[in-house]
Parts: sequence; structure tokens; C-alpha cells
Amino acid sequence: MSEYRRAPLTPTQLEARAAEFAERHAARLKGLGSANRAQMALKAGLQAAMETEEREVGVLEMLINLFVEKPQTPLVEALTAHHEAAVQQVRALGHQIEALETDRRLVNQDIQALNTDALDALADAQTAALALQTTEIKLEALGMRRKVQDNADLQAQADQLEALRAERATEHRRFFATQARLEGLAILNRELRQLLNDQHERLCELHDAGTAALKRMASHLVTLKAAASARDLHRETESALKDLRTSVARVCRVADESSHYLTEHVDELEDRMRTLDAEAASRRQAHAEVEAALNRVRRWQ
Amino acid sequence: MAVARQALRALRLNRLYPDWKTLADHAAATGQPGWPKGEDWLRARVDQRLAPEMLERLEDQRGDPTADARRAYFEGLMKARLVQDHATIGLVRVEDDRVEVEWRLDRMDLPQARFVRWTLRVGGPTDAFTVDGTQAQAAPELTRRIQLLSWHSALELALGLERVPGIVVHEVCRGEVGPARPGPSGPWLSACLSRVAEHVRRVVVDDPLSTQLLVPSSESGHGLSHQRKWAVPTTDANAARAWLADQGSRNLVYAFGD
Repeated sequence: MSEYRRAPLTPTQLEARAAEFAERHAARLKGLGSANRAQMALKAGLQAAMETEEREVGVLEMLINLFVEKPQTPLVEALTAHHEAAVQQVRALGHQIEALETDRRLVNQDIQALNTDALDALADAQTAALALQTTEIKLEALGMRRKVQDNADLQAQADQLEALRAERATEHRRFFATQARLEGLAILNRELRQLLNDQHERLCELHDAGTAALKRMASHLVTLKAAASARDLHRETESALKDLRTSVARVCRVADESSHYLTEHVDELEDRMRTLDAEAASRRQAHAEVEAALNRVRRWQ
Repeated sequence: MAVARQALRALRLNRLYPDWKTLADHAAATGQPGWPKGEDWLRARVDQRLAPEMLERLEDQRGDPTADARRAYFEGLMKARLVQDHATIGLVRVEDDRVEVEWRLDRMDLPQARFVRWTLRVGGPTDAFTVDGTQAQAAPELTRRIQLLSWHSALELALGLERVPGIVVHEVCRGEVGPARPGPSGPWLSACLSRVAEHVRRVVVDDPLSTQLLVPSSESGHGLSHQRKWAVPTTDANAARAWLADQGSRNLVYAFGD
């Protein structure tokens, strides 16, 4: 056994190790879900701000015509609230982006760990295969000798070699199973990394669009507060609305695209993880049967 | 002690201004040196609201140094005391069919980093207020009116309120903390008290920052007292006094720090 890089994992140990990675994988997919909620909240918040402004412009025109002092106050108040809500949504998105960056770094660490473990398992599987082959050759040679001349001593040697062969075969199977399982997990994690990269890019674009919309809202608020005459107010509001419509449209487009993309891919990755688990379960079943058979053989020896 | 806290304490703010200790705590929560900018004040507030969700999100990343640092930031914010809008109406007296109240309204304009406390002493008919022990509640339309007027100056609020039938305005005080000017050794923080009251007959305005302030006309019968004061680092005190003299202002200057 000492010739192996690591001790072979029993099916239970392997499943525990795989479950550890699967759990982290699932947590990261859940994280993508929070990012998705944040972007949809931003979209809804900015749309609400724009609707308020569109609605209030009507009221504003009426108030201007009635020569009320500072008719913009209700609009300023409503927009201030919307502005703060939008700041919060853009901040939330920023925090989600940072969390996504951490996830991406952790996924990379996981991939590296999986690669190392899978490579070790592969090397050990090869070592075990070689040991198995050597044992089989010895067994075959012994068989030939026993055909010519057999005695109790040779029988004992044969039993010992038989037991060794069974052990090597188990080790070989275990290393092989470990390598295959870890490789499967690494593939899924690489796909997750791709998803995180794509989503990071989209969220950053959305964050930029959101920040631009926020800047427009803030400068609009400042001019709105300062507007002295009804004519100024009207002109300012009309042009700000036009600007805001453009930035909100951009936010909505990116948010929708990104959310659609995410829904599709997260579901797919979750399905794949489940399939991998199901495959592992059936493999585990097969393993258990083989182990039981081997144990029966050992008992007979 | 943090600069913002030193400056706030030096300003000697009484109860006509927003609570300076909460302001100092909020300033500390922004993590900014000096006097925080509007966006910093706002950021602390929105991050505090986002903290529970983010702490849950960061739970899965426990052990990662970056994530741990961010968790510490959100945990700190959760505990921080931050300024918020607030209104209370205290009962002053009830006489026959009239009620007199003291209305206190904190309006925190975080994006502008200006913090206002309104203290109004107003009288009105009993149907304008619902009295409950020592507290009172105002009729919704009156509350709304005051809320809208609170965006404006003390005189504008007083004039706007006087137009409401049955309402008598005894006193309107507007205590504002901010803005701050950047000085050579630190922020020059200012606070301004603006008062329109029955007993204030003269117009006394001394504020180099309010150039377009609406002042009462002589025939309106209103007076206005509007004065700013400053807290500046000790080493800037002379420069601040010289600047004020240059502006034709006799604002008080308090020094803070060594």
C-alpha cells in the first residue's frame, strides 16, 4: 500500500468527499440565484422611478398652471425615495458581484484540488493495475508449477497470492472510481466557473448601466430642487425623462438577458449534478455488490 | 477621537439640532476620515439594510479572508446607530377648543449630507390634533403639508403653514447640521439655526452659505433669525475667521483638535 500516493477511498469515503464538493457547488448556484434577484430588483426599482416621474409630470403641469409655489416638491420627494431605493439596489448588485468574485476564486481552488486528487488517483490506479498484473503473472506461474507438482506449501502460496490479487483488484477499482468521480466533479466545476465568468461580466455591465441611471437621477434631482421658474422645470423634467428612459431601457435589457441566461444554465447545471449523483448511486450499488461478493470469497479462503 | 465626532461636539448643538451623537455614530459607520460625503452617509444606511441578506450570502464563503472581512463590515453595520427621519408631536397645552403642540421633525437628507431638525410650536382647533396623554397626532392632511414644506426654509414653512385655516404658528425653528467646507487641516463643519417666531421681530441673517435665502418683507410682520456657526480644526481657526470677515460675516467659530 505504501507505494500509493494516497490511501484508496472506500465507496462511502468517496461519496462523502464528492458530497462535500457537491454541497459547495450547490451553494454557489444558490449564490447566483441571489445575484439574479438583485438584478431583477434593480430593474423593477428603476422602472418604478420612471413611472413615478412620468405620472408626476402630468401633476406637475397641472400645478404649474395653478401657479402653486414650488410645484416640484412632491416630485422631488418621490424621486428622492426612488433614488435611495435605486442606490440600495445598485449597492446590492455590487455586493453580489463581489461575492461572485469570491465564489469564482473558491471554485478555482476547488478545481485545482479536484485536479490534484484526480491525478493522484489516476497514478495510484496505474500503480494498482501494475501490482495486479504482477500478482496475476505470479499466480499463473504458480499454477503452472502446481500442474507439474502440487503440495500444501504451494497451495498456501497460491491462497496468499489469490488474497493479494483480490485486494489489488479492489484497490484498482477504488482508485479508478475515485478518479472518474473527481473528474466528473471537476468538469461540472469548470462549467460553473464559465457560468460565473459570464454572469460576472453581465452583472458588471448591469452595474455600470445602473450607476449611469443613478447619476442621471441624482443630477436631475439637484436641478429639480434648484429650478426657479415653471418653464425651467418643465424643460428640465422633459429632458431628464428622456435620458432616464434610455438608461432604464438599457438596465432592463441587460437584466432580462442575464436573468434568462442564468435560469437556463443554472437549471441545467443542477440537473447535471443530480444525474452525476444518480450515476454515482448506481455505481455505489454495483460497488457494494462486488464488495459483498469479495468478502464472501475471502471468508471461504 | 474621530474628526467628525470632534467637530460635532465642538459645535455645541442643543436640542434644536439633530442629535449630534447619532450623527457621530453614523459618520463613524461610513468608515471615512473627516466629514463624510453625501454618498458615504447614504451608503452606510443602504448597506445596513442589505446586511442581513449579505451575511446570509457570505455564510457559504466562511474561511475566505476577503469574505470574512466583508462579513465583519456588515456585522459592524448591523450594530451601528444611524440617523433616520423621525417625527414626534408633544402636547404643550389644551385650552377650550384649541390645542397647542410642539412638533419635532427630523429630516435627514443623506445624499446632500445635510441634517435638519424642525421644531414647530403651533396651535390649532381640536379637530386638527388627536390628543393622547402628553403626545398628539396631527390630521393626515396637516402632516402631509408639513412634510412637503419641510423641504424648504423656515420662513417658507411658516408662511405655508399660516395659510392652513385655523392654524396659528407660534414658532418655527430649523436647526441644520452641515454642510462642511474642506479646510487646509480638516473639514470646516457648519450648523445653522433659522428661527421665525412671534417674539422675533427683526431680521437678522448672517450666513455666508445662503445667498438666496428668502427674507420677510418689512410689511409682512415676520422677523427672521438665521445664523450659522462653525467648527474648524484649531490650526485653521484664524484662517476661518479671516474668511468669514472677508464674507462680511460674524459667525461664531469653535476650534477642535490639538
